[in-house]
Amino acid sequence: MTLEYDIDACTGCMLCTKVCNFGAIEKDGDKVKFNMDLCVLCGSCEEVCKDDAIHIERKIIDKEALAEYKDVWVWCETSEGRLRGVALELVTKGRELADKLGEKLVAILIGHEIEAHAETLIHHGADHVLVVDDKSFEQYTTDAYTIALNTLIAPRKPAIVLYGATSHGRDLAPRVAARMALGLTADCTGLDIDDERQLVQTRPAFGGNIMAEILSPYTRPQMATVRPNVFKPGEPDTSRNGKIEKVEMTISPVQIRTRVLESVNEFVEGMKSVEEADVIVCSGRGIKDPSNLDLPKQLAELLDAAVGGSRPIVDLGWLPPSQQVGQSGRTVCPKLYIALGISGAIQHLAGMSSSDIIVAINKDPEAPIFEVADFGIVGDIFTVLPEVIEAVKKIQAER
Amino acid sequence: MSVSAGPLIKGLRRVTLCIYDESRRVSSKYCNLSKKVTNCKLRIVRIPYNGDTLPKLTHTRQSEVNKLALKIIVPVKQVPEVADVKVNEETGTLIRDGVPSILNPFDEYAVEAAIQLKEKYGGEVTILTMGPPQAKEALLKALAMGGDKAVHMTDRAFAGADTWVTALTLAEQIKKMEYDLVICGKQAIDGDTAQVGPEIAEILRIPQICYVRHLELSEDEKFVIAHSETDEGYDVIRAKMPVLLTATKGLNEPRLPNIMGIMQAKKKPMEEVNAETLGYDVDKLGLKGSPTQVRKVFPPEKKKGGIKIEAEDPKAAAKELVEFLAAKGAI
Repeated sequence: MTLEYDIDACTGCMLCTKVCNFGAIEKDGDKVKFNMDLCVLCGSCEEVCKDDAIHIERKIIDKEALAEYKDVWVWCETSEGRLRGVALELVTKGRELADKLGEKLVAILIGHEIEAHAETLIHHGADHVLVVDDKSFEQYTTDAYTIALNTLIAPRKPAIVLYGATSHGRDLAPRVAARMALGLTADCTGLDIDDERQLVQTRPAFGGNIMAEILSPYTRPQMATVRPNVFKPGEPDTSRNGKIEKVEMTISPVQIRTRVLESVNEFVEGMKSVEEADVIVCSGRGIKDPSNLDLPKQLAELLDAAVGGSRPIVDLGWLPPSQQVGQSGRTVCPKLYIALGISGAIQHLAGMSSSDIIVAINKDPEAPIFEVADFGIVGDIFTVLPEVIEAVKKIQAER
Repeated sequence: MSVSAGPLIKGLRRVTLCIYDESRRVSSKYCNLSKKVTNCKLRIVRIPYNGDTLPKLTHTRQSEVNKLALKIIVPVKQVPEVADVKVNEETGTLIRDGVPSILNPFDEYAVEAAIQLKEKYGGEVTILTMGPPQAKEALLKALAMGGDKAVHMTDRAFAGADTWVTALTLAEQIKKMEYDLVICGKQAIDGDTAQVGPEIAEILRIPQICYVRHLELSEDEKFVIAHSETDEGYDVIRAKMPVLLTATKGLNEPRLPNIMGIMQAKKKPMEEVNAETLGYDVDKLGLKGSPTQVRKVFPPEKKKGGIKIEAEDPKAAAKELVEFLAAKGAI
């Protein structure tokens, strides 16, 4: 792939310099200069060039070979025998993609004593469930799961494989992709099929400052990890039928090079997971003292919500790391997100801005959190919050 | 110990000091003194002190040194300070002017972890990066923190690589080096993919432990025992070296380079590698070799702020909020 710049055709309008997101085009007299170290050939400049002076030559695609790859696959993660929330989100989204392609949706279930989930996956949209059930998969290990997925993928040739961008999904997917020398797009927030039946993978970059559309034009299967809580799981349809296929597979212990000595669950008793809650009450530096967290906790209890924290207060140890919302913590997408004393740094917004309804209470009227809030109250959380708690109690009592 | 060092190592070009030390720490003061005495190249190897032999000083062959010392490779990336990146409201493009380039913060945990292991067990830390000429600054910072040498992979042919080709390019270089541990940062803050580490591990065919926030070696120093962060908490994982780790927040507090470190960094060995010296087919590198392709970049849909009220009367404000939420069916 190369970029060709026809310097004679260029009239020096400088439009291309304005649209380049990578700082790769510089003004050079009346013309422009390309810095190919920075250029990713995204094509933004080619699109805006009125003089037809920029041409990007892309590789020729062997369409016949690619067409052998069919069906949409989703890896449905289980944890301690339980189907994880992201699995149903992926099945719902995968159904949509499979329908657009007119192909089948295949769910992959790997674990031990997990076959019961196959029905659930069919009810949510899977046509076919591949079940790999063996003691060697009881606990997640990179090696065992990579072997299982590669063994399934290689002969069956799916067009698309999706994974949840959970900690295990982000450990597994690059391993599987690298073994097959495939492209992989991380943490997608949007997936679609284009006119050429390619998977269009949309993901945020630069802390959420820009979005990128990514394709894997030359390789199959196309692989992506998908952020949990971005797509909504659909309602189950118990009348749906599908095929459940058990695949025998045993991994020898020598093939597993890591040993899990212990699995520690850090969730504090009674503290809901921010990733799975419909409502999150999240506190920031404005809460001032750990003892003041009682107020958000009261509100969380009333709303059956998870208690979250921004990075500064988790760093101070006021809440466990499992409750941290933001780029270096968890990405959340609840129905209701209540931000208390959070200014809204870009890293925090990247982790929560896709929530359905955002409420912010903050003293600083200029705080960036108000730019994303559906309802903002400029005021002191310590005077406003008790009133909010009272008002919620009142409305709940009236029902 | 230093008293006997003089006569023993005098006249030798390369000497290894095997230090029997219960505390497992090698005093840098002691090393400096020895250097002055002998003016020879010095390597320090720690040998566990079992309590009955007296501390003594000896020298070993180079091959023995290689067997004993921990070899650690830390692949790093220079990234723009993402917090400073602003978006041009009109065009929706990134404003990069004046945005400083830094050593990726997650890589600092990796560098620090490597240095701490070296300090405890002896060994050598090599910092590796792939990037344009200015990425040298990131290498210098890691060297100033305490890395021993650096490898800078820089070539136009490497540019535009996606995660798979980046991993391939770095791994091809790592294959030529000796290592017991490869420690990466969990992810780079500009791309946030967390893919390059596991992809390197796969290409090197070694096991991986991701999102490490606590790290130790087994008694016999052959195994790594790491706490790997999961969605629920963490797993305690044991793996035999060589192994690749990705470091996350909580693993350590990365040190700030001091003046001495910064000055020494400039004198430390820095090797440059280009596509030719790497000896890999250029058509399979960089943008050309990348299986993924960026088709379009665009600004995120800006969520418009909604209602914003002043809480002059907290009670009224709270009432308004709760009514708003009730109307939306949110509570």
